[in-house]
Amino acid sequence: MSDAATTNGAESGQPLGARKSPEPNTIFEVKQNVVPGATPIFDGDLNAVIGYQKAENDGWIYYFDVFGRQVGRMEKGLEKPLIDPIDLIFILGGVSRLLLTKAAPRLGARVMGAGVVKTVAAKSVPPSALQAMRKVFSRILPTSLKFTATTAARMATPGRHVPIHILELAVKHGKKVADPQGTKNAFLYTIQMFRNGKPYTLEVLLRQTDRTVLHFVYK
Amino acid sequence: MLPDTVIETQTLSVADILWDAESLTLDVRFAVPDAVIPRTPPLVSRVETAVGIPQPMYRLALGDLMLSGDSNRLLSGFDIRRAPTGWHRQSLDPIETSTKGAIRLDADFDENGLASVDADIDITVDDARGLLSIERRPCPPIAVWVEVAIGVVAGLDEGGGIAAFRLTAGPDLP
Repeated sequence: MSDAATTNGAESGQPLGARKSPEPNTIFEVKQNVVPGATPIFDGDLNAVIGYQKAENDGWIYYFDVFGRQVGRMEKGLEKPLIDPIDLIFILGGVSRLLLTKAAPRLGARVMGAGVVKTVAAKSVPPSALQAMRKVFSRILPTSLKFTATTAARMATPGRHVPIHILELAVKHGKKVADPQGTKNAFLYTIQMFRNGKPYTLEVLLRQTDRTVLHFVYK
Repeated sequence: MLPDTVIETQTLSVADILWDAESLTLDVRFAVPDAVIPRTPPLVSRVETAVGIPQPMYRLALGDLMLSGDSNRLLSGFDIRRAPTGWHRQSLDPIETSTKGAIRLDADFDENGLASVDADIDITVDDARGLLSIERRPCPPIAVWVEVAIGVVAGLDEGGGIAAFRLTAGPDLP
């Protein structure tokens, strides 16, 4: 016989609490009003994309928060960043560009195939712009989202996990419909999400009454 | 002759079958038998592991049915969200299972280890015999049934693709 177990449908969701991401350094984005061609700014402390930058032909680098609102600009070449943003290529697992260029071609191809996303490190952003980005990002969190046994388990599973602020953004900006499976007071939110630069459709099912995430998946 | 997506083994783990009535999700998990896991991972995997690149976990979406594979693409579980009101209730035809093994997921996975195939999925419960069927609709002819865990049998089509599952449904399932 198999081990079969049932969780009671009457139980309510639980907050997730502080936990480590099962996929550190994986780049998740929900691009809201982001300037086309802008480069994501990854904050290693928050393990999240907190904004974007774009170098324009007018000689300025423009900085935007996660919702695409401009929060600052810096003249190109005016200030030498600690690390040249153009040189910084963020790679899954934190492998340096050296590995990409020096390692065996097969490995290089595999690493490239595994999802190389060009990002800018937060520490290379001017302090005032960085502060503004972090302030906007902090408004997304802390979250009041709760989770069922199933969705809490998903949040700890590599390949299934979605950062909680991305779930919040989906609920805030996604297309909303009633749960196709008919759950009372539950709505399905759909939004385009990027993982390591590749687009997917993220679905989040939320029970409105207690903000419990009943289901989420991207594919 | 078995499809090349099947790796035969004699030992199987017991499946965990969880029905979450709150999420309306049927979740099936089982361990891939040690005997079928490559003793020496490919060189590329060893190098990647050594330098801290996480090995991808694979996911294949067949419509609403999500198949999970380990870093070797070996099936390690599946789940589906479906309200019991959408389950069929009828007797199921018996199946013949003569093979135990692991199944390698065969799909065009992207760089994140994801693949998606449009498919309609039916869930059918045979209350009298305590069986549960999950299958594609229309279901292609099943070439072979492979027991992948104690309590879980997978039906493969001629090409070795997963077309159906049979579960020994526990008494707690709806």
